[in-house]
This record gives sequence, C-alpha cells and structure tokens, in this order.
Amino acid sequence: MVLLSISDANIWYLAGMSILVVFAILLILVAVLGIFTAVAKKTNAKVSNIKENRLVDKQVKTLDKSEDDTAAVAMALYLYLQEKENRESRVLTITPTPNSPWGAQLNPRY
Amino acid sequence: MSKQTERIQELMDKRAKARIGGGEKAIEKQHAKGKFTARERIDMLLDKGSFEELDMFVEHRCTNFGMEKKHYLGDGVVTGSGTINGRLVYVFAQDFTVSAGSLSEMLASKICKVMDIAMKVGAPVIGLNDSGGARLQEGINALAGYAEIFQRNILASGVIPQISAIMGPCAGGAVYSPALTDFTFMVEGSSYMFLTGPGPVKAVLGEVVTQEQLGGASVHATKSGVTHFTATNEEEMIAMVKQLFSYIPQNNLSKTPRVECTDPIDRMEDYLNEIIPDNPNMPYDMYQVIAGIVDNGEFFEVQPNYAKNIIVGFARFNGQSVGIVANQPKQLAGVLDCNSSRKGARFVRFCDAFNIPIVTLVDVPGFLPGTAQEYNAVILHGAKLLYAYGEATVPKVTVTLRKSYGGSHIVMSCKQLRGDLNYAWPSSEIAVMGASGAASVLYAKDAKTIKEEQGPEAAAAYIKEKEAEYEKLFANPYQAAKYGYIDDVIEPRNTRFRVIRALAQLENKKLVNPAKKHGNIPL
Repeated sequence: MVLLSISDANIWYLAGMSILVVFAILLILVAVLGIFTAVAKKTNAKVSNIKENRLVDKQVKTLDKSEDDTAAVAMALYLYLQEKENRESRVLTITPTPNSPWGAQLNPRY
Repeated sequence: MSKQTERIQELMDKRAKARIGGGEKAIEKQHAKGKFTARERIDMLLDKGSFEELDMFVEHRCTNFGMEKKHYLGDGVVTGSGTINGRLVYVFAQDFTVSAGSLSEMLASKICKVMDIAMKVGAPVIGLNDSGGARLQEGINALAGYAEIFQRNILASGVIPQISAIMGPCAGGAVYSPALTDFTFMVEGSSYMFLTGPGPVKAVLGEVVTQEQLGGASVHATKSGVTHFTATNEEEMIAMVKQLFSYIPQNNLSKTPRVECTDPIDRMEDYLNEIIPDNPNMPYDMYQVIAGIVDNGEFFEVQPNYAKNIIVGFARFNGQSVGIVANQPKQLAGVLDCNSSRKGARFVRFCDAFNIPIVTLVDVPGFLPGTAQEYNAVILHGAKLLYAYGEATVPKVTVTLRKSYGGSHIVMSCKQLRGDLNYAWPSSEIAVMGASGAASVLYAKDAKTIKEEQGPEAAAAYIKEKEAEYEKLFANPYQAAKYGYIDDVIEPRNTRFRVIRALAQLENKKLVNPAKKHGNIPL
C-alpha cells in the first residue's frame, strides 16, 4: 500500500502537520469564544442602561405630577448642596489692603 | 470608580469624620447644655464661606492610658483663617466634644501654627476657649503645649490684637492665655475661669464655693476685672466680638478702620451747656456727655461693670475709631483708686499699641484716700495710669469738664504728659485742690485765732470768705490757660466738632519715644 507506506522521510513532515492542525483549531476556538463573550457583555450593558433609563423616566414622570413636589425636591437639593460641607468654598472674602505698612519691604521699625 | 476618584472619596469621608469631632452623641450633649460646637461658633463668627480650616487631619501621638485606641481627627481644636466683614482674621476654637477639649501637645501645636501665621501676615487672632484643661494622659507634653501658646501670646502682644472668648470652662494654667490677650469675653452662667477649682479651695482653705461664685462671668466682670465683656448667651457674645473687631486695626502698623460717618460733624448738643450742676458736689452722668459728642451716640464700653468710677471704651469721631477714657462723677464722685487706675492704664496702653487716638474727658476730684487704698498700693496703680499716658505717642485730646485737681490732674493726660490738644469747658476747675480744702489748709492758723477770739461762727465765716477768694482765683480754666497748660476754653455744646477737628489735625502725628529694650512700668 502506497498510502500506508510511510517512509522515514515523511514521518517528521506528518507529525509537524498534525501538530499545526491541532493548534490552529484551538486558536480558532479561543477566538470564537472571545467574540461571544464580548458580544454578551455589550448586550448586557445595553439592557441595564435601558432599564435604568426607564426607571429614571418613571421617577421623573411621577415627580412631574405636582409642581409643589418639584419645588420641594429642588429646594431640598439646593439646601443639600449648600450645606454639603465637603464642597470646598470658592468665595474670596478677603478685602485687599494695598500699601499696608505691614508688608512694606523697607520698614524703619523692623 | 477610578483610583483618583476613590482617593477623593476617601478625602471626603475623612473630612466628614473630622467635622463631627467627638461624635453625634457628644454634639447632642453640648447642645443640651445650651452650648454650640466649635464649628458652629466659627460659622457664626466669620463671613459666610470664608473659613479655611487648617490641620483637619492632625491626631495626637500619645500612647499612655489607652490613648493609642482613641483618635479623633483634628484632636479637639478647629483652627484656620477667615474674614469678619472682609478683614482677615485667624481663629481657633476648642472642641469640647473631643476629650472635653483637653489640651494636648498636638492641639497646642495647631493653635501655635495659626498664631505664627497671624504674626507673619499681621492679622488678629481670636480664640474661642472651651476646654477642661490639660490632657492628663499626655503629662508634661500638655504643659509644654500651654507654654508654647503663652510664649506666642507674649510675643504677639502689642503686635496683633488678640481676643479670647471663654465659652465654657477655662481652669488651671489654661487661664493664662486669655489673661495675656488684649480682651476677654465670658458667657454668663456657662463659662468660668479660675486657677484652682472649688475642690482644691475647699481642701486647702475649707472654703465652700461654687464654680460660678469662684470664677463665673459676673465675678470677673465686677470684682476681679479679669474679663472685659460678658454676654447672656453665645450668639450675643459673638456679635460683641464682631463689634469690638470693627474698632480695632489689623496690627500695630495699620491705621484704625474708618467707617462712613452719617452723623454731622458740626452737630451741637445744647444740653451740654447746662449739664454741669451749680453745686460742685452734685454728680452728673458722664455717659450723657459721651453720647452727645460721639458719632450717632454709639459707645462700645469696655469693662462696664468694673471700677465704674472710670469709663473706658471705643467710639467713633467722623468715622474714625477712638478710645475714650472718662471719669464718672456718678460713681465715687469720679475719684481715681486702685482698680480704676489699673483699668484706665491697660486701656490706654492698648490704644497706644494699636494706634488708636485717645480722647480723655476729665472730671476728677483726686485719688481716693484711706488705708484700704494705700495698703493696696494705690501709689503703684496710679503710677500705671500716669506711665501709660506719658508713654503713649498716639494722638491725645483732653477735655476737662469740671474738676481736675492735684495729682489726678497730672495723671489724666495733662499737657505735660504730652497731651496734644487740651481743651477745657468754662466750668472747669484746674487746681491743686478744691476751694474748701485749700482755704482750710492755707488759712488754718488765722481761722484758729479767730475761733479763739471771736468764736466758731466767725471762724467759719472767715473760711467761707477765703474759699470764695480761692475759687475766684483758681476754680476756673483761665489760670491753666494763662500758662498754656490748656490750649483753649471751649463751649460745651461744640465739643464734638472741636474733638473731630483736633483728631483731623493729629492724624499724621509723629512722635517716637527714646530707643530702649522696654520701659519698667510699675507693675
């Protein structure tokens, strides 16, 4: 049999080819799985965003029911932000004192 | 969440933790006592949004008595800078919710830091005291902390104004910091100051006293003179601190703050022409005179309930801050004694240190006689006032209203003590002593002879006649004016304008004392 007859010279060639085929299949599998994972993640994120947006829409719709409610919430938010001490002040209240003798470089007394 | 955002969140959390001091429960306890927390007090004192806190994350480093397990961010004092009506000020407020505000090494270092910065930039320091004393667990380190603060109080004295507000207990060594500052405020009923509390007093002397009786606000405002101002509650006290602050400058090189004057400078008060009673022994109220001459009748009195025979305080003339010193004929006839001399001297020295002109209103019959005064060193106390006036280089305007006799005439900013402009009302009597006293001394021999020869009635009539002669000769301002000891005799109702014009003349006064390390005021 010609096909089964393996010469010494072909042994190494066949072994190499087999290994290459196996690794090629493995790489294709990894790539396919990777693509599936990425697509799944994106889909999940979109779904949760849509859910959140719907929730927010629902809340907004509920608040829109009364102007008083809106005003109360706005005031509460305003007061909260005003009183939130963690916000650093950005107000400069120091009145400048130009020509103050204290800061003069040539001071006869000191 | 990015790492940076996490870090920012951590900062927010730490700040929030620092802001609650000793915790919600301790804050509730403080409120239940009718007291505010350190941060609430600072909020009330400073312009909105102006406070910049320093050393919020400082912690003690004591490991004695389980202290390594107790840590509070900020360690019992809130320090930083802010503004009052736009003027920069440094503050520290002891936080009673953290270990009863007890003073630790690190707490002291926080206070020292703001004092050091204040000295560099020439801004006043206001301390809000509410502390149980030294943190005993820290031992000598706490004492060292006190000493560091005292040293800075001493060096800052006369350079930047220092104000102490006592808003709770202040006992033991802690009392010396307020005592070294320029002005002390106390709240009635909730603040007290003493070196040794009721416990040791009972143990050593067997004397039973309450905290209020020993070192309450009313005691220090009326008997000891330790406190300059008292308030019924903390809000009132903060308002008073702000008011005082409006009269004083930023430092010893700055001029006093000026405000717009809405009161006519030439306003005449006719009632001043009739305020002096005909009888020289009849009193009148010096407050009425002050109210009549200062801007809008506004007078911020210092130590109003201590040594009432002298009145000291701040007012404005044409919008300019001025220190007023006045004898009060309604109290002890306006005599000078130990307490009034001390009170006046300290005020004059403050004004001089911070370039605040002094207006002196004189009606003084002399020094209070008697063993009680002499034994309490009235000589030294009187010398303090004399020294203070003589040493002062700020503009000094003196108005003599009625009596100005003997040594007390010299002490109350006379011409020879470098009084710049000395005015007198026509009713003034500037002499060595009153007419009756002088006549009975000068004519004692003659009166005795007349009494022996003609009887006591004739002697009394003779003395009366001599009294009238003396009065005509000396009981007026013209003898002093004759020698230039009085610059002008003025109409009482025009006093406001004359004082304003005098102050305007003296605005650029320049007078320097001889160079020296320091004088030796009779302490």
